[in-house]
Amino acid sequence: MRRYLLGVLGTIFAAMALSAVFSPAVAATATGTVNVQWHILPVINFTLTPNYYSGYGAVLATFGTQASPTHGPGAPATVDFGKTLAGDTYLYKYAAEINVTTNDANGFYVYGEAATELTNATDDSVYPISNALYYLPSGATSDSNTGFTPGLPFSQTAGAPGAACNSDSTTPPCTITYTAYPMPIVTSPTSSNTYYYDYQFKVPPTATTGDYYVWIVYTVVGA
Amino acid sequence: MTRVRLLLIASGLAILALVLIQPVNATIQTQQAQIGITIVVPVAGTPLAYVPHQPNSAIASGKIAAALSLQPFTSAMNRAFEAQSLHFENGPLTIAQAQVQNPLLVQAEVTPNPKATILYSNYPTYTFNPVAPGATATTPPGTCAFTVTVDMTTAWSLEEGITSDFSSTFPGKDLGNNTYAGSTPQPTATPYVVYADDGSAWSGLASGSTKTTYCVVLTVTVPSGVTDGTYDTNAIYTLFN
Repeated sequence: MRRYLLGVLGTIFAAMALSAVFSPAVAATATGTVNVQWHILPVINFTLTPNYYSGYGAVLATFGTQASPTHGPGAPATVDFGKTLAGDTYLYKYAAEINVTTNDANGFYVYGEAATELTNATDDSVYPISNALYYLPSGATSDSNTGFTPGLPFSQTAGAPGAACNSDSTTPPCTITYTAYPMPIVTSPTSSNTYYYDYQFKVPPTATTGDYYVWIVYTVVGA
Repeated sequence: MTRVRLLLIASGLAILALVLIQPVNATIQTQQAQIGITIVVPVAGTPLAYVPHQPNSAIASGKIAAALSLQPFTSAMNRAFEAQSLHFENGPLTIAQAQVQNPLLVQAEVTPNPKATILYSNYPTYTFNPVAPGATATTPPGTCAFTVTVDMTTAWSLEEGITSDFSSTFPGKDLGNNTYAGSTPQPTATPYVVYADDGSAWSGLASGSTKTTYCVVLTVTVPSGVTDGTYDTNAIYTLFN
């Protein structure tokens, strides 16, 4: 009897062993939950157009009848206010058009910052950009702003501007490397938008004679 | 005949007097300089919609009513995923972001302005700390939002005002100024006149004939209906001589 029971048990164990040997896929199957996250890089098409509409240029801040805009020789490749007087304020009409199209359904952010302080290329003196250059919304083909329409100041970047930012030559272009983005100047909830801006220049009263420049760098990132 | 001559002489003298006085008046009315200071008010902290707890009489107090529905399984929901040799890095999650950058060069040729020093401000911009709708903010005690200096030694007069409202729901008159020379502020702040609303006119601030620096302390009250955002206007100071 005892021998019979041992035989039966042996047969059962042998059957289990054979089952394990001949059905490895079943024995190795395991289930679990894996949380996988990924971020798809959006495609961004960003066009920056300076002097985007005829009639672009600078006018002296004044009330009443507005003078016709004029500009310096750098336009239309650059926003060139031309001849200005220290202590005066000027409005530059139709300065910059920002056109963005992306496949990011959440929209996008636009960052706009000055790469450096306002710099006099003639004597290398510098002036705080946030006290000198401002931006304000404009229109695509019409503009009712004056030099006294309030604008918001550009800030100097906390990012790392490239070497080209320290020159008033248009090539190579200035770039800023960010480790953290600043506050956006505009947030678009939609994937396609166009923005129009005038610039305002409050010439520092103590500005020395010379040719001034600053790079404004726009960066677009998907939301 | 003598009377006629006397009349003519008197008329001539009157006209001469008018001619002599006229340039003086004209000089007084001549605008010498005008500056603008941008006032920026960031509005932040609009409270989210809040509905105080009101027990529904139809529901026993203290209980939460909820409904749950189950969607029948369909074959369309059955999706199989397979992966092999998965490897997960330790450390923080890194999210790469695509960015596109375009620069714009801004240029100007600056020459000195002899009138730039007869009227000037120490700052062309004043930015308040963020203010919540319904709240009031004032320049920190003991400081000026900005100063305005008149540097003339002949008779002058100074006018002030702001260009426009902050927005259609944020009137410019919600911005007050306490402007004073020396060290003693005025007893109260005075709302600015708004050029766009008040007949395209400024209000008189002061007159004098010596160099004077004014401290401007600002107070703003944000209406409760104003939404979060950045609002600005321009304070204008005009010097006549």
